Amino acid sequence: MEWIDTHIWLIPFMPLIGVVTHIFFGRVIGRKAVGILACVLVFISLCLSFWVFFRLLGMEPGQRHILDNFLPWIHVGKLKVAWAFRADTLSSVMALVVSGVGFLIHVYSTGYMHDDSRYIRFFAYMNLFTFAMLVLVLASNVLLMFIGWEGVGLCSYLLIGFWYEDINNAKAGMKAFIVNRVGDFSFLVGTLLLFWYCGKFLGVYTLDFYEINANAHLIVDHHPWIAVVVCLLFFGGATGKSAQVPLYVWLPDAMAGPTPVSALIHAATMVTAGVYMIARFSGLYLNAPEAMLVVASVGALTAIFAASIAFAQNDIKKVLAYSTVSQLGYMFLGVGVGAFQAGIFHLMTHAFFKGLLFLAAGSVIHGMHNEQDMRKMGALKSKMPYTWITFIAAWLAISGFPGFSGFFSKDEILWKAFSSPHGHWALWLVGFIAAGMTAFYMTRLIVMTFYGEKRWDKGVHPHESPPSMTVPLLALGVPSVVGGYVGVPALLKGSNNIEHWMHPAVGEWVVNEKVKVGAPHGESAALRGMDMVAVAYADEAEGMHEGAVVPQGEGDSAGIVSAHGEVVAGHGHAAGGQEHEFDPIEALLMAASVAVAIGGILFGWWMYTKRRDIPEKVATTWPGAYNAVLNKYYVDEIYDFAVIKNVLRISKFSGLFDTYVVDGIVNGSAWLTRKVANIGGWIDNNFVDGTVNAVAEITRGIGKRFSKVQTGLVQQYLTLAAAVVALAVVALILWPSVEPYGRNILQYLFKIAS
Amino acid sequence: MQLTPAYVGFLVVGAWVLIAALYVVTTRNIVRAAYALLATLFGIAVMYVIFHADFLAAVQVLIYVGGVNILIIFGVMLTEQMGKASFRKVGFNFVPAGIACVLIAAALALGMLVYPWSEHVVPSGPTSARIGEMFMTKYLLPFEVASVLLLVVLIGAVAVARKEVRDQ
Amino acid sequence: MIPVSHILVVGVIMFCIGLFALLTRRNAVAVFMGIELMLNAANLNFVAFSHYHGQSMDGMVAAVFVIMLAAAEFCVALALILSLYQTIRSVHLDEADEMKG
Repeated sequence: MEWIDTHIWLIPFMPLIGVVTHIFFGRVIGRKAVGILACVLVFISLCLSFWVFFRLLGMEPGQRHILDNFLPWIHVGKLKVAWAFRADTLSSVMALVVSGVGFLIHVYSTGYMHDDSRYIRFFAYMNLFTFAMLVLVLASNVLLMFIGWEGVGLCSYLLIGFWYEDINNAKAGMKAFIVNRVGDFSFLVGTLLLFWYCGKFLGVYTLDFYEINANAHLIVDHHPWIAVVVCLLFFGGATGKSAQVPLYVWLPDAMAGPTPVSALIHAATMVTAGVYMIARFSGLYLNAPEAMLVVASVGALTAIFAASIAFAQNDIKKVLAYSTVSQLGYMFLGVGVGAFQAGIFHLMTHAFFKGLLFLAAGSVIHGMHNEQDMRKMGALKSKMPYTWITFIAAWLAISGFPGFSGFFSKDEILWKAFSSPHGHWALWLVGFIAAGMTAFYMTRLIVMTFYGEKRWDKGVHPHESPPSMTVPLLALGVPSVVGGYVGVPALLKGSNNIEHWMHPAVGEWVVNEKVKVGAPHGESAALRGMDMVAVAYADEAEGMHEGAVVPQGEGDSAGIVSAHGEVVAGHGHAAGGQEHEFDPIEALLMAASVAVAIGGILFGWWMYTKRRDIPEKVATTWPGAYNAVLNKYYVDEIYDFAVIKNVLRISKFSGLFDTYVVDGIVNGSAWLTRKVANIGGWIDNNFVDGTVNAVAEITRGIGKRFSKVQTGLVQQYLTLAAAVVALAVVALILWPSVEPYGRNILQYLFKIAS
Repeated sequence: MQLTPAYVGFLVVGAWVLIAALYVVTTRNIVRAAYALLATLFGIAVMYVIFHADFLAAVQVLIYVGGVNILIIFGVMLTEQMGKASFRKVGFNFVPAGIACVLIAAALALGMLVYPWSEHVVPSGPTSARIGEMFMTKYLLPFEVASVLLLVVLIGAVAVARKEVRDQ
Repeated sequence: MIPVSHILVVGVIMFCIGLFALLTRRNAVAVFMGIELMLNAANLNFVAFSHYHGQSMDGMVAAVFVIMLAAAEFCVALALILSLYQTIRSVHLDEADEMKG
C-alpha cells in the first residue's frame, strides 16, 4: 500500500488548483507565472500518472486496479455514490495520454496565446478542462464520470467561444454545447434506466463500473433487450461527445476556437471520451451484441462520410476537423467489434499524431499571420522547417504508413473488424476504403501547404514559430513515430503489449450464454461462461475506505456478487489463451492496408503536384457533387430547417403562453381581488359608518332640543320651580284624601308592570 | 265674620298694602316702584299694629322702611340707567310666571282654607319686654348666631361690592 | 275677631305678587323688591298666628328674626347688584345670560 494508492485523487485535482489560482490570483501573479503554473500543474499530474502506471506495472496482472475512495458523497436510500477514483490498466493509459498531451499543449499555448489579452482566463479554462477530463477517465462510477463528461462539455463551450467578440465564435460554442447536450440527455437516460433496472430486477443498486460490468450478464437472463437499450442510449451520448453521425456537426464549427483548444479538446482528449466510455462499459456491451453492431456500423459510416467531406475543404483546420471525425469513427469501429484495446490503442496514437497535426497547423497559421486557407499557402517547407518535419511525421502516421504509430493501431482495428465474432467483412471494407481516403486527403493537405509554388497574400512573410511552440511539436513527433511499438501484433513477432496490458480491464467480463457470439478467431477462451464471477475490486485491506461503493451483501441467491477477493482463475486460462498462431488472412489484410496507404499517398501526391488540373476539372464537371461535398452535404442546413426552427417556434409559443395566459390569470385574479375589496370598502363606508353616524346625529339632535331649556335666565328657572312647588304643595295637602285611591291605582299599575 | 272696626281697618289696610304691592310690580319706573314699596312696608307696619304687635311695628318701620328701603333707593340711584329703555314691551315671562303664581296662590289658598284654624285671642299688653325676654332665654343661640351672621354679611357685602383693583 | 284665613289670604296674595315681581321684572333691584314683598307676606303670617296664639311670643320673635335677616340679605343683594353693575354695566337681567345653553 503506497502513498499513491490513497492519493490518486491528486491527479485530477492538481489542475483544479490552477483553476482557482488563475481565477482569483491570476492578475496578482502575472501572466508569465500563470502560464508556468498551469504547465507545471499538468506536469505534476503527468508524473503522478506515471507513478500510478509503474505501480500497476509492478502488480500481478490480475490485481491491477487501485480504488481510491477519496470522499463519500451521496448516500440516499439505496443510492451510494462517492468521489472514488479507480486506477486500472485502462484508466492509467488514458490518464497518461490526457496529462501527457495536455502538458505539451499547455506549453505550446504559452507561445501561441502569448499576445492574447485574456491569457489568464485561457489557462484557467484549460486547467479546468484538464481537471474535468482526468475526473472522467479516473472515475470509478457512472455519476462521477458524468461530472467529468459535463465538465469537458462546458470547457469546450467556453474555449470554442473564447474570442467571443465575433458572434460566429459564440455561435459555434453554443452549437457545440447544445449538440453535446442532446447526447448528454441520452447518456443520462441510459444511466437512470440502468440504475433502476439493476436495482429492481437484480437487487443491485450501484453505479460502479466494475459492478455493472460484472452483473451485466444477469440482465440478459431477465430482459435482454434492456441491455441493448441501455447500450444504445450510452452510445447516443458518445455520438454527441465524440462527434459521430448524426451529432458530429459541432466539431467542424468548433475550429473557431484557438488552435491549442482544437488540438487538446477536439483531437486528443474530449472527443475520445465516448470511446473510453464504451471501453469502460465493455462488460455491458459484450452482453448486448446488437448494440455493438450499431456502434461499429455508425463508426464505419462516420469514418467514410467524414473522410469524403475532407476531400473538398480548403480551410486547413476544417480538413483536420473532419479527419478527426473520421478517425473517431475508426475508434468506434474498433470498440464496436469487441476490440476495446485496439480502439483505445488507436485513441492513443491518434492523440499523438492528431494533436501534433493541430499544433503544427497552428504553427503554420501563426506563421502565416492567421491565414487558414490552404489555397493561399504553399512552399512553406523552407520557411518553417521544424513545423514541416513534424507535420511530415504526423502525416505519415495518420496515413498508416508502415512503421509509424498510426499503422499499427489502424491495422489492428481493421483486422479485428474482419476477424472478431462481432465483426463483418463489410465493416472491414468500409474501413479499408476510408483508410485510402484518409491517406489521399492528408497528402493533399501536405502538398497544398508545404509544396508547390507560393500562393501567399501580399505582405505575408511566413516565419518559423518560437521555441515554445516548436518544442512541443517535436515532443509530440516522437511518440507519433514510435508510439505504435507498444502494440506490435503477434503476426510481426511482437508481443502486443498494449492488448495484454488492458485486457483485465475490458476483456474478462462474463458474457451470458444467450448472447454469446462464437469463439473469436484466435482469441482466448476466457469468454466462456464461468460459474463464478470475476469481480475485480480492490481488496478490503488494500484501498477501500469506509463508505466504499459496495452493495450490501445479499449473497449469491440474488445473483449479486460482492466477492471482495482476488480475481478468479478465469484469468488463468485467459493468459494461456493469448497464444497466437499465424493466420494467413491477417497477413493478407495487413498487406492490403499497407498498399492502400501508400497508394493513397502516391495518388494524392500525383494529383496535387503533377496534375493540378484534374481536381479543377472534377470540380467543374460535377459542380453539384463538388458543392455538396464542399458544403458538407448541407447537413447543417437540414438540421436548421428540421429541428432548430421548430424548437425556436415552440419556445416562442411557450413564452407567449406564459406572458398572456399565465400572467393573465395572475393579473386577473389580482384585479378581481381589488374589486372585491373595493366593494367591501364601499359597504363599510356607507352602511357601517352610516349607522354609527346616524346614532351620533340622533343623540346630538336630542341634546340640542333639550339644551334649549337652559336659557341662562334665572327667572325662568324659578318660574318652573315655583310651578312645581305649587303642585307639590297641592299634592301634599290633598294626599290624605287621595291616598286610598292612590294606593289602589299604584297597586293596579304595579300589577300591570309585572 | 263680624264687621268690627278692627275688621274694617284690617280690610282697608289690606287693600292699601295690596294695591301698593301691585303698583310696585307693575310700574316701569323703578323709582316709583321703590316708593311704592315704601308705602307697602308702612302698610304692613300698620297691619302689625292692628294685631297688637307694637314692638314689631316699630322694628318694621325702623329697619324695613328706614333701612332697607333707603338701601333700595340708594341701589336704584347707583345703578341708574338713564336713557336705557327696556326693550321688551311685554315681558317674555309674563304668562308662565302668571301661571306659576296662580298655581302657588291656589295651592296655598287651598291649604289655608281647608285647614281648621283655632282662633283663640288672648289679650296682650306691650310685647317688647316679653320679646326681649324670649331673646335672652329661649332664642339665645339664634340671637347670637344672627349677630355673627350680621357681622359676616357686613364684611361680605363690602368685599363683594368693592371695585376690583385693576393693574393697568 | 278677624278670621285667620282672611289674613292668610292677604298674605298669600301679597306673596304671589312678590313672586310675580321676582319672576317677571327685568331690573335686578325690582327683583329684590319682590323678594322683600314675599318676606313681608311671610312676616304677616307669623304675626297673624302670633296674634291668635297668645301666650308665647314665638311668632313675633320669628318675625323679628325675619326682618333682621331680610335686612342682612338685602345688604348682600345690593352688593351683588353693584358687582353685577360693575361687570356688565347694566342691571338688566336679560343681559346676564352667560349661562345660556
